[in-house]
Amino acid sequence: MRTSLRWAIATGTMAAAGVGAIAAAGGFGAAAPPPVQTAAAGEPVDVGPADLAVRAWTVRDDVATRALEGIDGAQAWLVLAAEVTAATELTTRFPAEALALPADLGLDEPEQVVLLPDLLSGPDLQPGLPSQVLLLWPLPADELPADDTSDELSLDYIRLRLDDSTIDASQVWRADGVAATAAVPRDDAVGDELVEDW
Amino acid sequence: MARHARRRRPSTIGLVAMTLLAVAAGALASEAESRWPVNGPFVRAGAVGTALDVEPVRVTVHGVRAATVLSDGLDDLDSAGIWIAVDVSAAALTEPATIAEMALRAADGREFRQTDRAPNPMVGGEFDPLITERGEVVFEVPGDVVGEVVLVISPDAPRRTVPRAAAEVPLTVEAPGPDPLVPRARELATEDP
Repeated sequence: MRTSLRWAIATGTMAAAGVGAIAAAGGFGAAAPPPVQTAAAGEPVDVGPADLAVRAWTVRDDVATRALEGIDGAQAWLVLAAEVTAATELTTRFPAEALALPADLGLDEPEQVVLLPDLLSGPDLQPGLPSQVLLLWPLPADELPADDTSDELSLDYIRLRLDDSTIDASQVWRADGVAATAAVPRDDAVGDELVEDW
Repeated sequence: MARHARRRRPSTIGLVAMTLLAVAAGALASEAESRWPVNGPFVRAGAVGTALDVEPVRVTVHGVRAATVLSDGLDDLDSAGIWIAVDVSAAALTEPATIAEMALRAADGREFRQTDRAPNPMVGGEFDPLITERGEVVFEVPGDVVGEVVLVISPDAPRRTVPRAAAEVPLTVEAPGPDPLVPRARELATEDP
C-alpha cells in the first residue's frame, strides 16, 4: 500500500475517532438552557443590555388619547411601570424585545416608552443610571381584561445576547431564551403622570 | 539516471499541530472583523483652551462643571446621578456643518452621549463657517463618574465603523456643587474659536 494512502487512512481514522468521542460524550447535543428564575415584582433581572424591573401594570384609556385614536381598533393602553438600568458601555435605548407578555394578548414590542418624570418619549438610557419608564401597548376591545380577571399579569424577561450582525461589522442584541418569569400586580395609579400632559 | 529523493512525511504530531493551527487561524479570521475593526476614527487629541480642527468644524473646550440639579432657570430637573456641563465653542471650517454627537468617556470605558433630557443646541445644530458660537453641552452620568474623563466630539457618523474624524479632549470633573446648574445657552462668541 502506498505511504500516502496509509497516511490518509490514519488521518481519517483519527478524525473519525475524535468526532465519535465528542458525540459519545454528548458534545453535539443541545446544551441545557440556563435555569429560568422567578422574579418578584420590582426585582431587577439582568436581560443583557440592561437590568429591568417591572413594578406594576394597569389598563386605562385616559392617557395618550390622541395617539390611541390613531391606532386602528385600539380601545385602551396596557401600561407597565418599570425601572431600567443600562448595562451597556454606550448610551442606548430601552431593550423593547426584552419583555414578553402573555401570548394570548398578541402584543409584541411596546408602542411607546416614556421616561418619568420628564414624559420624554423614546428616551436615551445612560449606562449605569437607573431610569423610571412607562411602557404602553395599545389593546383592542376584545383584549380588554374583564373585571373578574386576575390582578396579576404574567410576563417573561427575555435574555438578549450580543451577536455579530449579518449586515456589517457591528454587533446586535438577539433574543436567547427566557431569563426570568414574573407576576406583577395591578396598580391603577400606574400612568397617572401621563393624564395631564398627554 | 538519478532517483528522485524521497520526501519526508510530517510526523503525526506535526500533522495534528498544523491542522489545529489552520483551524485556529480560520476562527481568528472570522472574529477579526468584528473584534478589531480596521475602520477606526481618525482621532485628534486636544486640550482645554486649545482650538482643534476636526473636519468639518473647529472646536475649543473651555471648561467643565458638575451639579446634582439641572435648571433651565424656571424648573429643576433631578437625576439619579449627576449633571456635567462642558463649555464648548465651535465654528464650521469652510461650509455649514454640524457636530452630530458629543460623549463623555469615563475611566472604565463607558461612554455617555449628551443628554436628551435637556436641550443641547450645540449638538445637531448647524454652524456657519468662521462664525464662532459658544454654549454648554450637558451630560447626565452616574454619580461615580467624576475625576478624569474624556470628551469625544464626533462631527459625523458617530460610532459607525467607517473612516471619520473625532476629537478627544481630557477633562477633570470636580465633585458636583449644590447649586442648580443653569447651562450656558448657545450664542455668538466674542472670541475666536
